[in-house]
Amino acid sequence: MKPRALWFIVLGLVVAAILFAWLRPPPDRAPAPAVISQTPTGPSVPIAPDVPVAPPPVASSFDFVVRNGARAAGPVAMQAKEGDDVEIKVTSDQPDELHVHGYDLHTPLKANEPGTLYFKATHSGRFDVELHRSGLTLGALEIQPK
Amino acid sequence: MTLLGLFAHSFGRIYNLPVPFWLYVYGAAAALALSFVVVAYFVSAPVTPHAASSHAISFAAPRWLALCARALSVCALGLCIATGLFGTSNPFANFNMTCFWIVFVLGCTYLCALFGDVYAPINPWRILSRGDGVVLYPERLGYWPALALYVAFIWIELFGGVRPFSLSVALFAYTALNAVGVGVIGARDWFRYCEFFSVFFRLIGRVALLNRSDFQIERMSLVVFALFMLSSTAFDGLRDTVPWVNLFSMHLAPALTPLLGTMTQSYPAMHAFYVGWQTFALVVSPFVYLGVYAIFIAAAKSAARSDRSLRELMLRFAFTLLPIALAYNVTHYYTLLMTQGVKIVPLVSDPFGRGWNLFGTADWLRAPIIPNAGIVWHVQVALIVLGHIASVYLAHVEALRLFGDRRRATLSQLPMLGLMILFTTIGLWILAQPIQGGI
Repeated sequence: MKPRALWFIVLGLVVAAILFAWLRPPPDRAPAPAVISQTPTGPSVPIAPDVPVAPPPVASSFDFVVRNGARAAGPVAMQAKEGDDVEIKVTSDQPDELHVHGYDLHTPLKANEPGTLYFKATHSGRFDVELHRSGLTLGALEIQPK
Repeated sequence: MTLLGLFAHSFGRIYNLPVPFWLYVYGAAAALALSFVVVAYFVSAPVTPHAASSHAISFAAPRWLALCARALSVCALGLCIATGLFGTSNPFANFNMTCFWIVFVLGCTYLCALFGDVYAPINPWRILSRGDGVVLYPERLGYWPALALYVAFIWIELFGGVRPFSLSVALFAYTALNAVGVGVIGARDWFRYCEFFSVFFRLIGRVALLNRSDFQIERMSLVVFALFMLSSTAFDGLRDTVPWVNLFSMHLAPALTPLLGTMTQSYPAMHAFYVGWQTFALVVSPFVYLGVYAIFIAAAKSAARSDRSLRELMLRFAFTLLPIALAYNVTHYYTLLMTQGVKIVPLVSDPFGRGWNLFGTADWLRAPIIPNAGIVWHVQVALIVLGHIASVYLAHVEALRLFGDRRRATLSQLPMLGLMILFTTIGLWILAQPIQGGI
């Protein structure tokens, strides 16, 4: 290859790198405010010793109600971040099977009994969530990469 | 059931997220800035190159390898037809869906993009049908038969709801069509003008990184064919996006309501209209691109004060759009090779989906393979920008050949640059759109 062409390839790479560094958003510092809110300034409220410890909160939880093969209640979009814990709860009036594509998770649903899939969002991407028997697409679970 | 839910993807699930806005802006900015680096490269050239330096490396496959590949190709076609007819109806457990849609349609495209037209020697239909025909092919038909078949193929891919059985039937019908076509007009003209995979892979091979062919686009029908490579992939991306879905559900459907009744009352009629509307958009799309292309080429012609006809310039520059078309295709579908393409390994051991384990690979690669969305975004944008650069470069080389002196070539490339930025930005825009699951 001619040296002149090489110089231009290097120039192109430099231009591309400068643009990338310039346009790239700064990484968000999400944990910072959480730390501040945990340092109370006033006297702390005493906690009753008998209260049982609540289970750790679910990071992202999505509840659906399905009636006659159609969505009666539930979010249109499911958003979560990679590494989050995700809970998808479906109550259907007919027996069915809940399926999350990509992760390939299944759980059987009994009529009028909530069925739950609980998992860690280890993969980023866009995954359809479906009921297999009725063929209903509940929506897509969008997991943003870290 | 949702209106769009009826149209599953041809086959395989794409898990890609829409590209974030800043990356979309970056892609467009990089395409623009790097275009000028390419222009600067040509402007500062010490001498005008009269012919592009030939850096083609030609491959000559050993005879035994070619024979094996041909035998494998015919066997794969036969197995695809057989498994669809006698195997499981589960598309993910049947060999033929993965073999045809992923390994053949996508894999062969990317192989041709790297090594040139590797399809022509292994084309199973060419191996199966030989003959000189009985009728002379009417030359004025050009490549229109191939384009018609290509449109039909994309329609089936997008709206056909293909299952293993129907894929078998379609492949069998296409094999029969090839036999009849070759019988009537002869193998030479059939595989040159009518068999659309031949035309498609020959065009891809034209811009291959290695082993570039000197095949010329000599018919306007072939220009439209090449533009359909751009517009069909753009359409496939577009039809899932929120703006496109809203165009129908918010503007067209209410306008039709007085005629047909509301969406719930007249579902079959509305649905038929929806399919018709999508088909219309698909068929018209390459001609819209052709119109835009003609406008920009006319601008290039007047900028260079060229005496050559508009038609000749449109023919000569058409192949320079192919890298952009290829980048569209790769960015949309390449993840399928990783998520679904690798499943051919277990499927080979159990092609009919009956629990066989012929080669002991039936249990391999069972876990889902999901590429990281962040990496996918960066690769998508990088590929679109690379395709753009390749197109700009090829167009400039072609302009130097056509217009002779450097100044006129550079002037002619300013409108062409606009055209390529337009096509590249459309590709990026579609990747950045939110995706609608259904109405």
